[in-house]
Amino acid sequence: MPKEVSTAKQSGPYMSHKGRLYDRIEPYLLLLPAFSIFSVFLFYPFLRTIYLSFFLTDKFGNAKVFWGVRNYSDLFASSSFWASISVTFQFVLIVAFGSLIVGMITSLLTAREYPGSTIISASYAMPVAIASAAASMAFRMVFHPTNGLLNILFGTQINWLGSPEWALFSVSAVTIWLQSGINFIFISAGLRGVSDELYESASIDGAGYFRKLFSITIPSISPTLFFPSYNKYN
Amino acid sequence: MKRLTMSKKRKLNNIALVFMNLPIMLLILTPLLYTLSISIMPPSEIYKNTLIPSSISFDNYVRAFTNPAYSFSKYIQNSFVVSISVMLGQMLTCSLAAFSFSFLDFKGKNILFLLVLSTMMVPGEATIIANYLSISKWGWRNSYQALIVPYLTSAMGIFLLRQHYLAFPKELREASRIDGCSNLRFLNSIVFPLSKPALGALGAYVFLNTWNQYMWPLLVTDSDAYRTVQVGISMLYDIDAEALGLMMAGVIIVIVPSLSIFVFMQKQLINGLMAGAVKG
Repeated sequence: MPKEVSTAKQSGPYMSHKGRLYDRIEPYLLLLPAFSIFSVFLFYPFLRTIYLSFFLTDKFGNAKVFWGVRNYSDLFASSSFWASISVTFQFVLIVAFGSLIVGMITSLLTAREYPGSTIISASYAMPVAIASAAASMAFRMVFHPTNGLLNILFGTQINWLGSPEWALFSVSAVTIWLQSGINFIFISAGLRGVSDELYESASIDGAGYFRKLFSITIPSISPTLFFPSYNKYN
Repeated sequence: MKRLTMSKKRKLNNIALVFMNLPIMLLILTPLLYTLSISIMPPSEIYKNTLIPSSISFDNYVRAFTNPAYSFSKYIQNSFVVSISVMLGQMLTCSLAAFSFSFLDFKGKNILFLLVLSTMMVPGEATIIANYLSISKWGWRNSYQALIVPYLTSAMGIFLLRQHYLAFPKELREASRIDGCSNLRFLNSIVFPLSKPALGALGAYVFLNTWNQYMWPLLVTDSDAYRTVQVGISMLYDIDAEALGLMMAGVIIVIVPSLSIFVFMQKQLINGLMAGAVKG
């Protein structure tokens, strides 16, 4: 934020052209392409979604009958809605926690450079490039009930994706895998931002690796940790 | 003498680190290696639960491209057309907006910028139905523009480039201003050439995201002429759920382009995203 203040101050002298109409509307003209897309495909549909939620619609999505909050009360009264809310919370908790752990471990293990660290980092960031559609196909094979990798390795016959007790776990595992790349990138960035002096003075005071981890590293990068965990909701 | 033991200790430390990384690396890479292995396995071995094929066969890849019920090369072409258009479009709209937000001063700048950032908080699910209704009303279903136009700008792109432009020395703008250089010319002949790494990072990021899209293309296309690859590979499952090798070959074909972009652009991509993460 302080950066923004300094822009405003420094661009002050350019305002000498204030009188000319074009100069005054140019900033808005430059924003126009981006804002027209946002308006048509983000602001408008978002508001329309809210508006339609108070109406009954025909099958083309046109508002027909004003329905007040009855769509909402119907939703709140339905047990399947609450069931899906509860599953969503479990899913978010498992995925947020799991991918934070994976992100922390992978970025701590590659925090400094050593022979091979480039290749190791690349493979940790790699899931960023993989589509969820492709990953879910690949994991369908890993979880395959008869010929899948997990059942071959464990000698089991578990229906990982079809049985109620395993499905949430399996879907969370795929999501954690997909998220691990971007979490690795964000947390590594956070780790680079922690000042070396803190670690040096802690070492002088005789702090061990885990003491430093819990007293310096984690508190310093907690804002970065928050972002990937929030991001799960989308 | 002491220095020698220090460097020895460091070497041991490095070896220990590499060994600690190996199991995690294996865990992350296994799904893809397994997919690759299934895709080149002779079909009989899949059902014998083999992990590593005894011989390599590319039949599944040939079948993916030659199956008459299925125009895989057309899907790949569509995905390229859409991803490249979205990438170029975002590079343009986002640089213009970011330029305005970082170099110019105008009324409502902060509110407009907040409005841009607020779009990051709206989940896609909240707009997708209303967007689908608009697209159908305009008769845009099954068209390239339905896949491209809604994604021609992004808050992430504007934010990323603005962060980069804010780091530009202000003297540069001042000097060119004195020489009578207009904003657009300044953008074109000074800002663009100097921000190639940031634009490259954005471009790679946008390409990957577009290439990997699934929900929107699934919704707005139902003909082979405009279907994209991610929807295409999911259809492999519907065509023949038993053809596991064929499906895995499809997955490998689809991730080759995105993975190559990742490998070639890795450094810029990671640095670009990190800059966005830290300075935010």
